[in-house]
Amino acid sequence: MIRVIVYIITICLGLLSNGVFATVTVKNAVSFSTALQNSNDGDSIILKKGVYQLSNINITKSISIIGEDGTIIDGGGDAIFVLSAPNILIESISFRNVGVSYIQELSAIRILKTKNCCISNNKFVNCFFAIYVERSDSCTITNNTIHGESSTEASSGNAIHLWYSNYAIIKNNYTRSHRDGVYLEFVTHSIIENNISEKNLRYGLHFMFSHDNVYRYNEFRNNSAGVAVMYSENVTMIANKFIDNWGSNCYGLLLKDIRRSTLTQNEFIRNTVGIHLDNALDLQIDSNQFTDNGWAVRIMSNSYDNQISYNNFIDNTFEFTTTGKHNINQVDNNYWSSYSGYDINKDGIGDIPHRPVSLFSYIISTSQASIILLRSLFIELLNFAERVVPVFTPETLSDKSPLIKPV
Amino acid sequence: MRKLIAILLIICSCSPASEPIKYGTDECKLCNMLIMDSRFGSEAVTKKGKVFKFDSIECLVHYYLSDNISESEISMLLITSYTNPNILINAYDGFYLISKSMPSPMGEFLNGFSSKEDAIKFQVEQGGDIYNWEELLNYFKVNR
Repeated sequence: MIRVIVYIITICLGLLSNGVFATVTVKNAVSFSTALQNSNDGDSIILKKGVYQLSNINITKSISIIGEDGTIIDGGGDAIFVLSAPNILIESISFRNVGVSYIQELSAIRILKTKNCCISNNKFVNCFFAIYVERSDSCTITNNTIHGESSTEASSGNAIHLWYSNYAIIKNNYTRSHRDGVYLEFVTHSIIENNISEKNLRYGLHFMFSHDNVYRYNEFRNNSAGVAVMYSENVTMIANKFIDNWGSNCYGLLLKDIRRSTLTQNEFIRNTVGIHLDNALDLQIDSNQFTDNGWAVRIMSNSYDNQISYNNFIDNTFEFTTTGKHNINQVDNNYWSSYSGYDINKDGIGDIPHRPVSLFSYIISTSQASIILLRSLFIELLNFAERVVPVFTPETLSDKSPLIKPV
Repeated sequence: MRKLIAILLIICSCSPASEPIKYGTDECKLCNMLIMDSRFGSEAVTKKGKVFKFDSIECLVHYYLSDNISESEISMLLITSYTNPNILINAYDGFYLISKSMPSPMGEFLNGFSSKEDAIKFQVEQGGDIYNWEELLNYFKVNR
């Protein structure tokens, strides 16, 4: 009973104190600065519609800064906000014109050594870095549209950049024409969900030394590589789309020095290389869709103990390539559209193994110019001969139970 | 005439030269990443004239210290100064600051400078330790 009374009193106090928090509406940069100086923790500042010239503003109190429809903050070539207090909310503001610097990572919003900040429903246009989170845990970045204008690599920063920041939630954002759409370095226990990254100069999403993270339901289009996961452990990748990452040195998913991770229900469509695995250990790759890629899976010989099953490989130029003669990866129960075997006992599993590595893919890896022979009769014969009597391709790399119908 | 051509050929083929790094197009020899940040690009040139490009000084050092290449094969090692992007300088003459508050592309917090004064300037602001090339190699040998 006493406990209930205490609860009620606490709630009432909470409601009362709510009234104490001030909400100030401002119309220009000067009144914004005054309001910021006079504000206390818990206050809100509403920015009326209009263009505000603001740069290098330190926000050191736990306040909310909310824009009206049409509120624009122009950095005039400099950085805009630095948030260094916990529980700050920045909402519904258009940021623009944060200049390029080779020495500093100038950003529209920099969250510095704090926690629990929330950046939502904002727009960023022509910002070097849009949101830069440094040593700040538990930040939420949602529903932002981030549109870079950089066409050259050196003048581009990352749209969302996290460094040494854990427990982040990055959701429903759209990033375009930056260096990386989302960049994570030394970030753990974070969720990246429902974002769209397109036309970024490097990667749509980039993990460096970032363990125990999940990314799901994202779409990566037209980047140099859709996603790069490097030097990371225990990354869960579910139901993402990797589309049209096409060109030389382009990949849907680039995996380098990664272990103990799962990759499931993803779609790889029209990428130069669907997945490139370099030093990948102990991955579970299942139920993915590979359609119309140049190379569906390219696996370096330093990758092992990976399980690749129940995937659909449909109309890829090369289904599988590997370097080296040995293979220590499990490949079984996949559907291969190029499978030419039969199923006499009608159990849904092909009666002869499928060998997805073609001899020609070997020739190409040593002599790239030979791609010109791709559709020639000679190559067809060569591949057929190798399939019947394997000499160069790894004997062990075959799907012993290929599926007759797609999963 | 034949001699002249022979001499010309020898002269042309025997001068290993560095190549400018095409940021955003070239891939790092060690980590496969596109080389993007013009403050960190590095390069190794062999005596035969082969050029290996790297996205960071730490990738160059790791590559150099691994068995990929032997010291006797190297003609030039080049790095970029943090304060002077896009321009390659000799790695042996550089000074290196490892400071936990200065990120570098491959997570080693390693930034190169062409002069010790520049390195000290950043050390005063950001903290950390300064190394010359030999000391840097030793640091990586110990901390691998």
